[in-house]
Amino acid sequence: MEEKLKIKLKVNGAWREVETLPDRILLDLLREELGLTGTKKGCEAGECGACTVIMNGRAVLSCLIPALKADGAEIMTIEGLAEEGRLHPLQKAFLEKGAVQCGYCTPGMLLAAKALLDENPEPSVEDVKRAISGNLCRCTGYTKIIHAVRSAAETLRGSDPEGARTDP
Amino acid sequence: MSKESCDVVGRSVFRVDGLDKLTGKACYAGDIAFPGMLHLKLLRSDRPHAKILGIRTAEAQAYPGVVAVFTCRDIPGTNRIGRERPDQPVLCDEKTRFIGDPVALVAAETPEAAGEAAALIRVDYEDLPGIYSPEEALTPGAAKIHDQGNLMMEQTLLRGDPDRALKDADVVITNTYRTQMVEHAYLEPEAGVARFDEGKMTVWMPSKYSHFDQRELADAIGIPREKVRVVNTTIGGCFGDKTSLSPGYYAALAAMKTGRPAKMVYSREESFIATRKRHPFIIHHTTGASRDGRILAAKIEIVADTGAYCASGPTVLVKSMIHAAGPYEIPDVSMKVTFAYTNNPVGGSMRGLGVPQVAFAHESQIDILAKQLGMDPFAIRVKNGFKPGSITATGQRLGDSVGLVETMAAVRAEMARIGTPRSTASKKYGWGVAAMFYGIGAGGRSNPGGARLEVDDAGVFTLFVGIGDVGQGSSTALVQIAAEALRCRMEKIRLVTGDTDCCPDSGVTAASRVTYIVGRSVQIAAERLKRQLQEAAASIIGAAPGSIRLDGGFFLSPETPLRRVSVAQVVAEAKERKIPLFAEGAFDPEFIALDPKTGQGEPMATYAFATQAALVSVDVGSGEVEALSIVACHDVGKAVNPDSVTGQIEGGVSMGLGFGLMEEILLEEGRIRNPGFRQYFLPTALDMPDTVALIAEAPEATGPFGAKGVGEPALLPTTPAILNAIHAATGFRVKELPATPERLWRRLQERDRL
Repeated sequence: MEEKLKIKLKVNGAWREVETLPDRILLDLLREELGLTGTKKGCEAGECGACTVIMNGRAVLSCLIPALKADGAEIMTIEGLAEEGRLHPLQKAFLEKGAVQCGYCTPGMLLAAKALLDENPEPSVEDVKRAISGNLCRCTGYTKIIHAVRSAAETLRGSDPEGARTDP
Repeated sequence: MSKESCDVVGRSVFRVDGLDKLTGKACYAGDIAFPGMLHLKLLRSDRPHAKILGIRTAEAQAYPGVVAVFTCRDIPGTNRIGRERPDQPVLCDEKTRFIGDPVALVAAETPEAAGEAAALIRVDYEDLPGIYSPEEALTPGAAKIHDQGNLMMEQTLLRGDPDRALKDADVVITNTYRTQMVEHAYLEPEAGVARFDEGKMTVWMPSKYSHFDQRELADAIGIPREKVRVVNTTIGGCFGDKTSLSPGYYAALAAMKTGRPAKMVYSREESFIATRKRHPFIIHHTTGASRDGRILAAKIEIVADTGAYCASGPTVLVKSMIHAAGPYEIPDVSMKVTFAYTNNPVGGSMRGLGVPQVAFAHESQIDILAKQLGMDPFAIRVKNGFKPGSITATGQRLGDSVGLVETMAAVRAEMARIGTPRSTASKKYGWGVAAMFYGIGAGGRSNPGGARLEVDDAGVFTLFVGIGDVGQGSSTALVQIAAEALRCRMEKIRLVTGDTDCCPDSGVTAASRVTYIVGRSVQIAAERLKRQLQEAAASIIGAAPGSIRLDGGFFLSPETPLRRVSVAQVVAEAKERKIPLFAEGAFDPEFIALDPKTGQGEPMATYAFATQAALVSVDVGSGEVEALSIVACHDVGKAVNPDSVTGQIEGGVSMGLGFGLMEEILLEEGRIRNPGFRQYFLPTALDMPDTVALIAEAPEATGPFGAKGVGEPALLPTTPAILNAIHAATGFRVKELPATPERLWRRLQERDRL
């Protein structure tokens, strides 16, 4: 039997100590050890983007990161995007623009978009397309996702989001 | 139907499942875990066609962490699945018929142990001749894949005398089109979890039809149907797949045999190898027209590869035949559609059910005709296109809900606004147009929907439907329909879906039928419940029941304008008066089954229509096609939720683009060479054109508030529009999908050498 190793990582603002096998990937650690099942497993080969999380400020594919590499790292998963029950502007924009269908790519898509907006507050359509080009979506054709990300960028910059609707 | 204007239907309200999906709370089957749960792995056949002589499991059974290994001998049930023909084993018994056929099941303490042990199972095979194309399968003397032979099904259609009509035609064109095998590629791989507690089996799985899965898995694994409860989990995409022989079946088998909870999740590779695919078609299509552009006759022969098992083959066959002549009035038509078994992966239902394949052919044909006759692509389509009262190839006279010509006009106007960039020597631009019609629901057979609605003491309604939302937004649409019919806010309606213990059987989430058929069932249930409550309200208010209206959560009557009573008060009164506080609705659209010889009948009660146009650029040096713009207009009857409708159109465009330009399951003697997203290309955000999604509404009288459907129609015209655009740009006609850069470059080179 392989020996388990102890690692410490900050997940969604809280330090967590977990034991993990050396060959574990971060995705399984998050889902199974920490119960954060919002991070999705789509291919386990770095090809679909469903498992995207933010690690030390960058969007990464958690299926390609050995769990041990996350020792000491700061990680944000979908469960940490809304603050104190208030939706992040990206989540709000996805809802308003109808950018969610089956929802399986949504967590990864949101975190890839957050990493983009953290770096580039005023992305062009091309910038958004490039930032999410590693996140596959089979449902939406990406159109409403791209609108939502740009609308959230506007909200974050402090101006009125274009065409935002009031909740029915 | 209510004459009042709609408040909720027709508005882009937020999805009812949106918050859960945006915060990571939505529960997919793979997210479920129970203490002491077993993990499962299947050993799948690596032989395309082989007799099983023996299966040796001792080594696997002894592997650390393994709890049990099951083969067909451990299944007390029928060990057969298949909705239309039960010809597929849960675990192979006599032989294997494709690479990926399940042979043995390992249950272990961890997924790793299950996987490692599965590799230790030894199967003694005697290889049989493999058959990899339908033509080969139908050759006399070919090895038999199933005892009854390799012909899965054949159906013919005859209307008028096409041979004579073709003799009279001024122009006759004949072409052969080939379409490829395609993967559904939903982002959520299949998963299922089962528990067997005190004689009751509960299975959690993403199912497009939980009542069917309940019946099928119960019979197949050998457990009484009434002891099985299937609970639908959030579905991470389906596109026609995800029912029948999914991991939930194996989880149930393992739970039944061991008494422990069991879970199975497919890897992406397994999802590619094991699950069903879009049928590859070979279409021979002859069309004749008069000099003035009237289509006079069509003769169509289709041969399709249905793979190793029947699955939804008959449905796909019939649907492709119904639509093969396109949305055009053609007086004389003949068709022959043949589906043959092969040792390739199983063909199943996939968005469009055989119609994307035939749409590629009929829209290429009409485009070629237009060129030969010197006609505008819209003019020829408007001239021949269906209008209210037109007669289809199956001899069905269409009703009033036919918005095809309107969709053409809308697309044409938008195209003109966008314009065409000027071509250069190396980069060519062109627009292509394509149209479609699509029958809503199953073709030529009954397909009832059902819904139940209850109201509680607080005046809150609960809507039960058997149908699960596959991502397209049906749950939201059904709540909107209920809220509209009950004249209340959507928050006053709780929704329970896909739980066989409490939901009525609503039929399958397929064939673009949910909004039209289940939605109508919901509306009927709501109207019934409202009438029951009106009776109680009338006695409180002291007005005639017929005068009572329900609005904004209150019952009121113009006879007594000052008195209004809340739903909760009326519920209390109804209880006193022993009026039931629930109602059911069912709707099964009318149809006339197709004649087995002539294919004549009225298979569907209503049809959706659409036109799309594509602007592409073709890089002559590399063969690379870029779709720059898609303009799509769909007649959906009534858009219950316009954002959901445009979301379906945009998603359909990406799927249609993938079908046209990049997606292809590559097979080598039955083996998938590209079982992953690294080699099987899905459209990414960078591949997507600017999409203008437009809605036309030719209301359907039998639909809920006039609605029809859009899920499958969304992708049908995209592929031919792009292929017609490639022709407009380069003068080269692609007749074989997909138009990959390599294929197109080669053909352009060949042409230029000539």
